[in-house]
Formats: sequence, structure tokens, C-alpha cells
Amino acid sequence: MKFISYATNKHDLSLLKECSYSEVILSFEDLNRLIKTSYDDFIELCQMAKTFQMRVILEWDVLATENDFAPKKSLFDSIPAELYDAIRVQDPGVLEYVLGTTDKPIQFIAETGNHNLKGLKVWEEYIGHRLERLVLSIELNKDKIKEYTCALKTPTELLVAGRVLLFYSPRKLLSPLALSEAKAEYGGSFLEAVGSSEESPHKGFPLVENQHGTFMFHIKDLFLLDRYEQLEQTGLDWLRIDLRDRQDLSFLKTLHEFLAKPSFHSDDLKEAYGKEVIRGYFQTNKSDVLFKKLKNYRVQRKDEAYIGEVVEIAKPEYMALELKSHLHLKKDSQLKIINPNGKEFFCKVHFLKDLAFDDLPKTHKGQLVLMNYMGGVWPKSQVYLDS
Amino acid sequence: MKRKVPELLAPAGSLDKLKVAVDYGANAVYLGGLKFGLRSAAENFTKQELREGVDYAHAKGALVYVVLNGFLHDKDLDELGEFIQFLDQIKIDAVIVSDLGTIATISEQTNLEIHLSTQASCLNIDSARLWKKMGVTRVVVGREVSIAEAALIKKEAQIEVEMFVHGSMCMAYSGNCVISNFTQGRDSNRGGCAHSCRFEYSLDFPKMGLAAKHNYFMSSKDLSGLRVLEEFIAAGIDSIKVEGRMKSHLYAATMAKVYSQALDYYEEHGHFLSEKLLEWEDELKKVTHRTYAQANLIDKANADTIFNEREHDTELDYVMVGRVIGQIEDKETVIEVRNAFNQYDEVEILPFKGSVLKQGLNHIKLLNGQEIERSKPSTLVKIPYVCGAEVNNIVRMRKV
Repeated sequence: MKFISYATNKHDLSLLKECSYSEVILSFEDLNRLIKTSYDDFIELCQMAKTFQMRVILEWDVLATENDFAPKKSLFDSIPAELYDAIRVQDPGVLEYVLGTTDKPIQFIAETGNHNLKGLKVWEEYIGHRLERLVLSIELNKDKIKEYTCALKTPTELLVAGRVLLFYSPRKLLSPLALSEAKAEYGGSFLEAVGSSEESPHKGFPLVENQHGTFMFHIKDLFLLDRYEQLEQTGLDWLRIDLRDRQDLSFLKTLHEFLAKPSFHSDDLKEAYGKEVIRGYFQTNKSDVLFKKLKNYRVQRKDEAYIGEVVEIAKPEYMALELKSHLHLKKDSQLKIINPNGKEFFCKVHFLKDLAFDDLPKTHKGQLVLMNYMGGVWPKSQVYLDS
Repeated sequence: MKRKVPELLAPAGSLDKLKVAVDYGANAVYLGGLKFGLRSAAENFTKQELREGVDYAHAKGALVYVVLNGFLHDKDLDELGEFIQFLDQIKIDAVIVSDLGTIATISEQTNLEIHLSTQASCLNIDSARLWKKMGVTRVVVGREVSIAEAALIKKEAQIEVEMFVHGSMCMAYSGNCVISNFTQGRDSNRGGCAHSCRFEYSLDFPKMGLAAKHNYFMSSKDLSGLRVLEEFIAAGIDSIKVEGRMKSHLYAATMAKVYSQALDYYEEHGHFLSEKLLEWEDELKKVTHRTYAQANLIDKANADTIFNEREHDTELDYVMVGRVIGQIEDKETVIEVRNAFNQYDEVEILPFKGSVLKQGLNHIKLLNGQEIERSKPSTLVKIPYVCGAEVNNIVRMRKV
């Protein structure tokens, strides 16, 4: 496994060189969501990386609608091709553009909405020989990652330490809340805040607003380096460390000192990271198990033998049913009724009447009928033929 | 001469709501099965309900699109095959999908037409071109895309384009919000969104020494594109979509009725220069909503599009008090009561076509003829005969 990280200034880049990184992710403010580096500084960093004999990965990860996309294409086209070695993209539109206009290798960020092997294989097939790396989602657990790294032809990468982006909006949501004078004083183009809600158990979400919109991060960083052996077992090729929110990359030196030891205590490494951390979904992803609790399945009809729904109870005279299926109801039919609490009742139809209380010889779908009252049944109870 | 107008695509959170949307004028509805969509808490459709829904809509000339727009995991895909073959068999008109693995599975196993969900955030021409190569015939563009940009996408990518015209808005790029995933353990992109963007937040700007308490800074105003329908038409947008599978029957009826009336008016007259526009706007204000805005339809959404308020009802809001379930011998109208109303209240019946029918209630009776002063939810009552009312008309009343 190799490490990759971002450099946003010369000091970062020198440190990566010192740590023997063979690749670095570079970008500038117009193409990147969170990097503040200007275009000119980016060019300088590319040149410096070249002198360090490091591969430069140009990351273009901003999302843009058509009118904003055109100027970004021009900026991208203006970057001397010899200054970078591969392009890292996320938006399918950007992917399509760089596929058509360059011959550089592509690292595809499949972090958002790519949670099945089939889809990843289609990306692999579509990008073809130009695909140099797939950046996998941190919502995949370690078993899935292992399965994918075995099944994919392309080398893979995962974020193993850094902030977890929770929310990306193109709208500027912080500046309306900050005083305009103060905003000007602090540069205005890169606002930072911390948000907390009484309605969330988590307090202190880091927020950033810049020219691309507003970003919210988890209160804790993702940190998987204390599970280094498990990471090795997944078959990942690249581990990404994203410390762009820090003053410097000094943790990387510490990390490599730890890794150079014959053995180390994982808690010490975690402590050296210096922030509160989570492991996210690396062990397991059960983010769909709570869905069952989101609605009352007892009031959801089952298709077999379905008759309809109770819409009124007039104790002790009658109950009104709305007939919702083609099955006929007649006198002496045996019914099973399930109330919204899930309790089952069995009864026989003693009479069937219409809304004017006239006897009904037969029923049809869509009809409202009155039948004998049954205790324990109430509106929204589901009615089935009990054969 | 009838002019070409976009398809009106309405939400159908349940079979009942599908019927409401179709009866009130929607040209197409979108709905979800019990899995694979983004609204786990909605009633959604069983297979039999799906079959019935398709039959009902098709009989009335409306199309049915089924959402499979969760970002599906492997185990979801394993279960998808049988379901999409069923959808193919009952002849739904398209599926709405956001994930490449899902697209590939559908293409391999069925002949279903595939629309790309807004969840995939298709924002530009190049993106639409790519998705077209993947087998998609229509893109529901991201809600950040303007009408003018959507027109370019349609023209340059040669693909059908669908846009949201009305409803709640995600503040984030769709598919790019995982707050629920990491704070509540519920995958927002598989139906578990906890609407954390509607929460109240207090913000600190440490570097600026500022604090901003009690804000709803991530809550977006609702979208309403009624005033710019002519722009949608001029741009050649193929389908305009109303958000809201979780919303009420009254919402489904009002949206389908207002927007279909407006499109019908344009078909006939070729413009919207009518006092009816104000009438339609008033109708849209009668369903529970956040303040309306045009979001990105014309210009980029700015600070004015932040709702920044706690969710609340307004005095203009109406509530659905019931639905018409029958007329008895031209003497009385029978209503299934959903919310209580009193004798001497005035209720309004929304006919499928034409103006609202108002009815003062000089009496309310139970089915057995007993007079009552106040109706109860989940009962059937008789009110004075409302000429022109039809079965399944929605009955509403101003909230008190």
C-alpha cells in the first residue's frame, strides 16, 4: 500500500518528499472544492513536484452547471500538460470532457453513489485503459472493499484519515449570517464556522463557505490507520490522507515513524493524530436497518386475498369498508382483519349494505359497503378473505 | 391549434394519491415500490397496487414512472432483478434511476426505458452525453440547473430533459448529502433522509468573533415555477415535475389541478396573460408550504432562497377534511372525514375540472340519519348535496 496526500504549499510538498511520497494531489481554487491555492501558485507547485520527481495528480472535483462549467474548461485547457501526470475527477461531465480532450490517465472518484461492484465495473469498462485508479467510497465496509479489490482490474484508493464531507451545496449559506464588514475584514472568500443543533446529538460541525458554495463536515475525522493490518488485508493499493484543514502535514512524519517501527500500539497512533475520530462504516454498514421503523407496515396491504380497508366504525351497528380489489365480498364470506396494531380478527359477513342501507347482493371494486360491526377493528384496518 | 407543452409529472406516494394526481390532470406520475427508492417512510406500492396503479393511469392516458433511485448496494441489486422484470411485465413507462449498477442491471434484464434521477446531479451537457451513452433516454437535471442551461443540455446532448417545477428543495447537490448516514445511521441516499437540513442550528464564526444563534441556514424555500412556465415551454423542456411523494392528498390534487389548468390554458391561448395566473397562485398558497422561490430556474439561487424559519402552518393554509365518496339521490353528498369540521362551517370541494365548489354546512348527518354538530375523523357523514361533486373529489377547509 502506498500513501497519497494533498499539498497546498511548498512546505507541504517538501514534507511529502521527505516522507518519500511518489504522488501528490494538487489543484487550485477554481477546480477544487476546498483548496485555496491560486492558479499561479498551483503551477509553481507542479513545477516543484516535477523537480522532486513526484507524479502530480490534478484534482478537478467541483460540480458545475453548464454556465460555470465552460470557464472551468478553459482554465483546465490552459494548464501545461507536461505539469501533471493524471487527472482525478468526480463529476461525470468532467470525466466525459477530459476523456475527449486529453490523453492523460484518469483517477475516478467513485465516492458518491457508487456502492455496488456492477457499477464500478461499468466505469472501468467505460473509461478503459485510461483508468488508472478508482477512489472508493468510505461507506463501503472492509469486506466489500476486499471483494471489490479482488474483482476490479484497476488499482483502488480509500480515504483513511481526514475530514468526512457530509454536505455540499452550491449556495452560500454562511455569508448571509456573517456581518458584511467583518466578512470583508477576513477576506470574505473563505468563511469558516462551526454549527450545532439541539436536534442533533452531534455538536460542532465544521462549515466552510467559498466560491463553490457551502460544505459541512463531520465533527470527528475518519481515521482507519489504527486498523492498518485490516487495511492491508483489503487489498487496497492507495491510502489517502487529507489534512487540508490543518496548518501543516507534520502528522505524516509521525505516521511514517510509527510505520517504520517493528510494532506499535494503535492507540498511540490515534492519539498522535490529535483529533477525535470515527471509523465510519469500515467495520460494517447497517445504514438501512432502521428503515423498517420508519412506517407502520401493518397498515400496508398484503396482496394475497386482499379485500380493502375499514374506513368507518359505527359501534355497534356497522363498519364501512372500501373495497379495493377485484375479489368479491358476499354474505357469509369469512374475513381476516388486521388492525393498525397488528392484531388479527376473524369474522363472518352477516350483512352487506350500501350507503343508503339497502341490501347489496354483490359488490364491486371501488364500492363502499357497510357490514356487521366487529370489536377491536378500527379505521385503516386491512381486510382479507380468509379462505 | 393546440400548442406543445411539457408533460406534467406528479408525485404518487400511494395508490390513492396516484388516482388523485391522475384524476386532477397529471399526464404522468412517479411512484416507488416497497424498496429501491428514496422514500422509505412513504406508503409506497405493493406489487398488486403497482399493477392497479398502472392500469388506472393508462386507462386515463397517463404514464407511470417507477423510482429505483437509491444508491443501491450489492445486496439491493441482488434483489432488483425479479422486481424490474415484474415492472417490465406490467408495462410501466419508465424507471427513474441514479446509479450506474442499477442502469446496467435494468439494461441487461429488461426493455424498460431509463430516466436518470436528479439524485445523480446531472448538471451539464457533457454529463448528459455520458449518461445517454449508458442507455438513459431522459435526464432529470439537478435542481441547480437553470431553464436556459437545461435547454442547452437538451439541444446539445440530444436527450429528453425533465425539470422540477414545484416543491421542497434539497439545499445540497442531490446525492451529495450524507448527514443522516453519519449522524443517525440512516442512509439518506437509500430512503433514510432525516431532514437534518431543516434543523435549527447555532453558528459560531471563531475567527471573526461572531455568533449567529437559532438559524435554519440549511433550509431551502420551496420551489414554485408557475410564473416561469412560459420559459419551460420556450426551452422545450419535455417534462415538468412536482416534488412530494410524502405529501398529502390535498397537495397532490392541488398541484395536479393548478399546473394542468395552467398548461391547458397555454395550449389553447399560447400565453399566460390571464387573471387566472393569480387564481392559480392563490391555490398553490393554500397547501402547506414554505415560502416559495424560483431557486435556480432563472438566476442562481441566492441568500433570498434560504427559508431560515421553523416549519409552521400559515393562516392561508387549508386542510383536507375529507373526500367525496358518493351522492345519495341528489339530496346529500357523502364524505369520508379525514379532519373534523362543524355544522355551519363552509367546506370547499375541488372538482377535477373547473372552479372550486363551496358548500355551507347547515347540517351534518351520520349515515343513519342522526344529525351531529361536529364530524369526527374516520367517519362517513352526509352533508347537503353539492351539485357537480364527484366521487374522489377532495374536500378542504381553511384551517382555524
